[in-house]
Amino acid sequence: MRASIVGVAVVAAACFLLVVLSGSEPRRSGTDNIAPAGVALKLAPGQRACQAENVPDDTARVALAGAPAAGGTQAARLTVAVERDGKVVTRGRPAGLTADGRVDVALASTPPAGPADLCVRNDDRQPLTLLGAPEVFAVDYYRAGDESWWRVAPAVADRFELGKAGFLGPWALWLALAAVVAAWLAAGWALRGDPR
Amino acid sequence: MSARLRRLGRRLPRAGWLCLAVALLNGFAWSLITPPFQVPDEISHVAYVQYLAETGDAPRHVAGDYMSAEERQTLEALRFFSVVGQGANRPVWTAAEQQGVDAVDAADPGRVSDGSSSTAVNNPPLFYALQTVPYELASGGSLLDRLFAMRLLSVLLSALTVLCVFLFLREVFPRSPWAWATGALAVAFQPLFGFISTGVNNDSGLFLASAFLFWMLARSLRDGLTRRRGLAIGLAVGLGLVTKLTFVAFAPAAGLALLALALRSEPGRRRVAVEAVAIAAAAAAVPLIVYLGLNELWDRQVFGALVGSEAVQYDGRPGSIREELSYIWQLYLPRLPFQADMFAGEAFRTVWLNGLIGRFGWLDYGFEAWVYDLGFGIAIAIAVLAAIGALRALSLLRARWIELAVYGLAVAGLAVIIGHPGYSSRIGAPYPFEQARYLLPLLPLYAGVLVLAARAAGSRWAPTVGALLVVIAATHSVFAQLITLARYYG
Repeated sequence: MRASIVGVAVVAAACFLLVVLSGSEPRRSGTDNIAPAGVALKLAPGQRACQAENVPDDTARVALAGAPAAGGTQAARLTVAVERDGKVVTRGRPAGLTADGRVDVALASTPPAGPADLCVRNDDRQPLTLLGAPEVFAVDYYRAGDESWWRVAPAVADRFELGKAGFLGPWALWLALAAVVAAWLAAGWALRGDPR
Repeated sequence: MSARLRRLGRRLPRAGWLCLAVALLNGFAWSLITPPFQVPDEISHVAYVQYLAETGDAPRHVAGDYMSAEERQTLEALRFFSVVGQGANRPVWTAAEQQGVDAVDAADPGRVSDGSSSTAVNNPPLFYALQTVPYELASGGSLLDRLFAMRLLSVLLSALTVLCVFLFLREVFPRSPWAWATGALAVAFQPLFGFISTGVNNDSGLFLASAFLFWMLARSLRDGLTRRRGLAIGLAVGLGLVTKLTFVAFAPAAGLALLALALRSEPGRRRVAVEAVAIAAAAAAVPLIVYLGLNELWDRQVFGALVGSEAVQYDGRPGSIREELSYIWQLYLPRLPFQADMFAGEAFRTVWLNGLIGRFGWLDYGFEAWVYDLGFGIAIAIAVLAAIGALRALSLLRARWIELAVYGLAVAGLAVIIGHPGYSSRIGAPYPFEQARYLLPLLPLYAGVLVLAARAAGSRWAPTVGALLVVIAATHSVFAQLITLARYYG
C-alpha cells in the first residue's frame, strides 16, 4: 500500500516535470550582459550606430531595449544589420515586443556565429533612445520561434561545460542529471524495507 | 560480550549508507550545475584558501586586493561581475568567450594576493586549511580545476552532515527506524542546503559541526555521558568555533546539556560524568587556543573576530538595546502592537521561509511567486501536523524536557547570534544581512520536525506520510536544480 501511494506521488511529480519541460517560449542564444539601466545612445531620425558584438550560434532575432523619445508601447521603426568587414550579412526590422518589453527584431537569415558589428538605424521621424550602459546599447539574442526545454537541451548541454573545470566535457550536464536520477533511486531504496 | 553485541547492533544501518549516497550524488549534481563562484561569497572563500595554500598565512585587515591576479582575471573572463546579482545576465556561453577563460589559464597570472580584507577575513581557518588539500592536489590545473576539487570536498562535508542527521534521528526516535531515513533524506534534498553546502563556503563545515554536535548531545542525553562522548561534544564545539564563529550560538546549549548530564548522573557514574565535562571543556578550549595563537602568529586581530569586528565598517545611526531586542523579536516572530515595524512585512515569511523555499545565486533568482505561496501552505500544514505529532507524544516529550530545553537553547542562541549583526547592518550597512542559510545549522531539528509531522498520521501511516514528505523534498530539489539550469544556461 505504501509503495503504491508513494509511487503515485512520484508519477505525479514526473508528470508535472514533463509538463514544465514541454512548455514552449522564446529562448535566448546569447546576451551582451549589458543591463538596460540607462540611456546608451540617442539616434536622430536616419542616424545609424554600430557596436562590436560576438553574435552567438543559432541567432534568428535580436532584442533591443529602446523606445521613441515620445514614449509609448509600440515598437520603434528601425533597421538592425549584422555586418562583417563592412558587408551586410543580414538585416531585420521589428516584429513586435519581447515579454520584457524589448524591441524584437527578426533577422532575414541566421548569421554565422562570431565577431561582427551590430548596427541600428533609426527609421522613425522622431529620435530613438537605446538603453544600456553609456555608449553601449543592451542586446539580447534569440533563437528562432518558441522552443521547449527538450528542443533547447543540446544548446544547454553545450553551454554547460563552458566556464568550468577543464576536464569537463559535453557530457557534464548528462552526468549531473544521472547523479540526480541515481539519488532518487537510492532514496527509494532507503525508504523501502527495514532500515536496520 | 553483550557490550560488543551492542556495538555491533549500533553499526550504521544500510539506510544510513544510502542516505549518505543520496547526499553525495545530489551534492555532486549541485556542484556541477552551479557555475563557478555563483555560490554566495565563494569568491572570498576561494581567495582565502588560495592565500593560505600559497603563502601559509591567513588574510587580515590590510590594504590591497584580497584576490590574486589569477582569480580576478578568471572572474572577468567568466563575466562574473556582470552576472552576479543580475538575474537576466549569463556567464560564458560561447566558444569565443571560453577562449578568453583559457587565455587566462595559459597566461598563468600570479596566484598570490595581498591577503587583505574580504567578507571572509574574520573567519577562523579550519575550513580553509582543509580546503588547501584539494587545492594542492589540483594545483597543476587551472583555478577552475582547483575550485571544482574544493567543491568535491564540500560535497563530502555535506554528505557527512546528512549522515549525522540520520544518526541524530536514530537517537531521538529509536523505536521508529522509518524516521531516520525520512528526516535525513529530507535534509539531503533540501535545495538551499544542497546549493550552499556544495560550494566553497565555510557554511558546509559549520553544518557538519552542528549536526555532529546535535547527534552527540542526543546520544549523551539518551545513554548518559561518558568520557568519549564528552570529548566528542567538546571537539564539536571547539572545531565548530574555529570553522565559523557563528558556532558560539550552540555553546550555551552544549553547556546546559553537560551540566544536566553531570547533575543527573547516577551516583556510581558521577565521577565519570564530571570528568567527561572537564574533558569536554578542554577539548573545546584547545582548538580555540590554537586559533588565538595562530592569529598572533599571522598578525591578525587576536580577539577581533570573537567580538565581531566587521570586514567593512559602516557609519550608521546609533542604535539602542531596546530597538535591537525589538528587531530580533520581529526577525522571527509576529510584530507586537507596540513595536515599530522594522521589516515592512513579516520577516519570518519574507526572509526565512521564502529563503528556505529557494533564493539562489547571490540572491538573484528563485521560483515564481506561486511556488512561495504553495510552500507557505505546505509549511503551515507541516507545522500543524508536527504540533499534532508532538501532542500525541506529549508524555514522552515531558519525560525528555531537559533534551528539549537544550534544543530550545540552541535555537535561541542561533537566533540572537544572527539577530545581533543583522541589527548592526540595519542601522549601518546599505544592504540587509540576514539570509535563510544562516538557519541551516538547525537542520537536525528541521528533520525532527518533519518526523513529528509524519507521526501525526499514527503509527500505521507515519512511514507513508514520511515517504511522501521525502517525495515532496526531492521534487522541490529537482525544480530548484532546473531553475538553476534555466538561470545560467537557458
